[in-house]
Amino acid sequence: MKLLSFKLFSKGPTSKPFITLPFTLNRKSIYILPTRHGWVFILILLAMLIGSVNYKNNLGFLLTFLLGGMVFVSIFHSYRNLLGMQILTVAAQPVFAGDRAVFKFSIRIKEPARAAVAISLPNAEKIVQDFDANTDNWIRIPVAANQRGIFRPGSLLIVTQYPLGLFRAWSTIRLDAQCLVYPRPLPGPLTTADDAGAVNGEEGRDIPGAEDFQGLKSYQQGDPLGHIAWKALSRGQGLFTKMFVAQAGSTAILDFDALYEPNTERKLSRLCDMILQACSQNLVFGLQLPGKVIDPNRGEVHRQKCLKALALYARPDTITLNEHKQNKKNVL
Amino acid sequence: MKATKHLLPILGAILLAVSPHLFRLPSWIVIWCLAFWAYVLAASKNNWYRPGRTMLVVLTIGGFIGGLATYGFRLNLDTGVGLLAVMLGLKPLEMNTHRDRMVTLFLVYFLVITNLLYSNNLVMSLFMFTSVLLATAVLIRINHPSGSFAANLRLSGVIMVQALPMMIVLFFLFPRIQGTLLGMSGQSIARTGIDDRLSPGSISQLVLSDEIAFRAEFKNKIPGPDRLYWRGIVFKHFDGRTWSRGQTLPVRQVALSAGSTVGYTLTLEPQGEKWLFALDMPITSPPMARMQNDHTLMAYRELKARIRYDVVSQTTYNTGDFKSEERTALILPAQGNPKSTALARSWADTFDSPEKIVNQALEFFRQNDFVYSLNPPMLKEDAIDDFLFKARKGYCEHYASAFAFLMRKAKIPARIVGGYQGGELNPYGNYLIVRQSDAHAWVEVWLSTRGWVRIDPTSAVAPERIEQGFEAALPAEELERFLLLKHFGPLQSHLKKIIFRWDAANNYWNQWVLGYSYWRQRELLAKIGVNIGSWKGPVKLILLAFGLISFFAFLISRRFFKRPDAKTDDVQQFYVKFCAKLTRVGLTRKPGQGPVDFAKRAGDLRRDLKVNICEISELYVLLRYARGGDANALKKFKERVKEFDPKPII
Repeated sequence: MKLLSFKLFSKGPTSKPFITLPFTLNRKSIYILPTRHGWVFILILLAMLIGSVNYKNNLGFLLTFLLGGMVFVSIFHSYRNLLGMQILTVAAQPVFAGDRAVFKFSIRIKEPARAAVAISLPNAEKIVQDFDANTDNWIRIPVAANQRGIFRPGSLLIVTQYPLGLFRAWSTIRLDAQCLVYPRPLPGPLTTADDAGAVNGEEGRDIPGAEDFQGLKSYQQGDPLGHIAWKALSRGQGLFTKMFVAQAGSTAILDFDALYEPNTERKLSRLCDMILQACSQNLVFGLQLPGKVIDPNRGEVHRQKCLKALALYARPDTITLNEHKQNKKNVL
Repeated sequence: MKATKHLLPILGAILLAVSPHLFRLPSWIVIWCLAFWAYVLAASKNNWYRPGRTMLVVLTIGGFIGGLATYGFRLNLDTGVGLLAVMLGLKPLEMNTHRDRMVTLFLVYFLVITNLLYSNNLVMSLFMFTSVLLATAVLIRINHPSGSFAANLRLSGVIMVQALPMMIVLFFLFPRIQGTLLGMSGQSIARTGIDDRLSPGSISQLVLSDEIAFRAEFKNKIPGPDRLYWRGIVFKHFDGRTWSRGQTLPVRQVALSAGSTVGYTLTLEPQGEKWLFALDMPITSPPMARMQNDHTLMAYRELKARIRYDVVSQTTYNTGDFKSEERTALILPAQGNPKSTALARSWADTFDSPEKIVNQALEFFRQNDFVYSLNPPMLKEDAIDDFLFKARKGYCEHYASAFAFLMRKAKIPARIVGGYQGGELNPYGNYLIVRQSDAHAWVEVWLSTRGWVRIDPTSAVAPERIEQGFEAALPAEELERFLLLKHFGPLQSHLKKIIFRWDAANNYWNQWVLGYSYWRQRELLAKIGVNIGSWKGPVKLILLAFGLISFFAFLISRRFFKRPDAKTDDVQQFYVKFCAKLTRVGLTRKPGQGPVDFAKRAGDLRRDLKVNICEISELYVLLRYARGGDANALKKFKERVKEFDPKPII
């Protein structure tokens, strides 16, 4: 236990590596110091002691030492309230920039049950709750994600002042929580590389909708479930996907360079919007970013791949989620 | 809503902490507190008006000025407590934040200690522990609002019990000092006790007090009642009406010729005076006092706290030669009391030895219808004459005063001794309880062959006083003023038992806790080889305290922080054993090889063991990785590992 540890000689938070999950709060990771109320109470105890000495009041001594002892014992109780808490996993679904990323922690508690533990991420509201023993608890912490890319909310802070509010035990856990943040969609028309102009509203009506059935093709992984020809399947003809009319003769290519927008971020936002539009219309589309081309395709997997490419465009400092997972596997 | 939830427990804690003060506080402060609390409680239920900040400031200032005015703008303990109560009356009005609630509870703790400055006995000790228990439970509640109050109370109790060892260590080892720290010792309690002046009525007023003066515990047999004269103060100087102490000198050694000694320990209640009481005649002096040349014990400092000391006394003694400084024992005012003077002179002329004069004087009291009484008539000028020849009704101080006067006039050195006589035996603790009502005054005369000899003129008038206490000696009509156990008829013996038992409990508590002082600490530490006088003493003391507290901390932490995954460890341990057994037969687990892999390879190499190896490995994987498996699986796993006994292939 570190009662008074000032990190004078540490190299600063950035140099420390991320911890790997699952992580159990141990003696090295829990710090404990009096709260402001704790200091006030210690001063009161000192006053009581001086009074007892002065009046030679033995009951006064007894009270002062009893309270002093209780303060001392409460340190252990605060400490135990955190010790052995185990953070198993952390995960967050991708969000669009400007939305709140919800980090979901799973925390395992061993005997005894924990009371009034506050869990927080930087710039997020703290969650205060009790934890039952021998169960896995799920904690959801929403944090505003303002920039596209990989959002790292920072270290997880676990604090408790239980039981007396006189001592604050805490642990800062440098875990690598990540959330993929797509660019914020910027509404506008769907523009493709081949017509090089706006697919404006009138022409948009000419683009065949999803309702215009064209025929069947054999099922490919990633095809929307809703488009599977269930009737054909039930007839025992095999798995087919219903084909709907796509752009006549070709596929839509969403090209970064073809957009007339003042800056990269706006272009990405526009592309994001267009991907969403294309998906909702079930178009087959490809994406062209400087240095990265995604071949035309459709479906949920394709959509995520494209959005992710937008999110990570020109962000060389952030390793991708997959790469990171790979790294973690190597570590394990 | 949240504030309401905390309100009731906090009010409860305040009320308990303030309860002993309720009878001491001015009635308006009591009403002030109760009214505000009742209002807050009702307001929170019914959503009534809550005073704003300005209103609270006005109320606080008003209350403070009112409080100060009530106590006459003097700053002392009473004022402090009054103002604290005024503040605590208002505090519940603003308890919206966590900070407010914490501060309120800190005030509650402070309130508890103020109670202890007024009285400390067993009841107050119990009160203290109860109050701390409740206040701490409320403190826990504030910091953990979702828990049940019963759980809060239980945890509060647990923390308290865990704190007890540290409390005990610090209590006994924390260095005590002799003097006061800040020069203040302003305990405002007026205590009854023997005064340093003796005038008619000064002892008889003590009889009305049932308060305990001291308790005395004897190492061996308790001397008979005729020997239980507790000497406190010697009065040598007489101005015609009042006796006072006069000069005394400290002496190094007391020379008393041999006699039987008796050792005892006295726990003296604080009287705010310097004299200690000891059985006639003390031959040792406790460390906080010095022996005086009139055989009294005088403390270095006024006794503001309960103290406990050991004395050895000699019940038969000869004080030896008359010392020159004792000549004051013959001095009397030149004027006044002519009749008594004449009487004494006539005895001096008639009898040839001082012993005969003493006997004659006692005979005089016996034969002239003197009455032992608590309310004698007022004595006019020439008080001795008035008493001896007219009133003939008085309490012990009257008899002692007149007797000493007569002796001095008859040229026999005489002085009055003030103290206590007798004491009640508590059969449950084998000690004597001496109360203020046992206060007594007697005379010592100096006789050439025996030194100073105790003469109790009261015994000549009312021998029952000495044998059975003042209740037996007083006329029946005077006793009606007292609430005596006699009035309880058949209940008397039961009540007496309860009272004795309670007093015995008090006595033990006093001996070990409340009577602990610098001197007791010195004694205690000397027994374990720490001399507090030398520089090494305090160092050893700190090391000892630190060591003991660390030890308790270690015990607590062991209880708390035993590895929470002991079950897994157990599993791991047995798996290691299993692997060791396999190693013996040449099947070694490679570093980093998983248990399933290892089991497969080992099973392939030793087909005869395959079943066992697989079963154990499966159980291990279940217990360790799936974190499943119940106690049965664990038991089975352990058994299988124990049974597993691979033989090498020859």
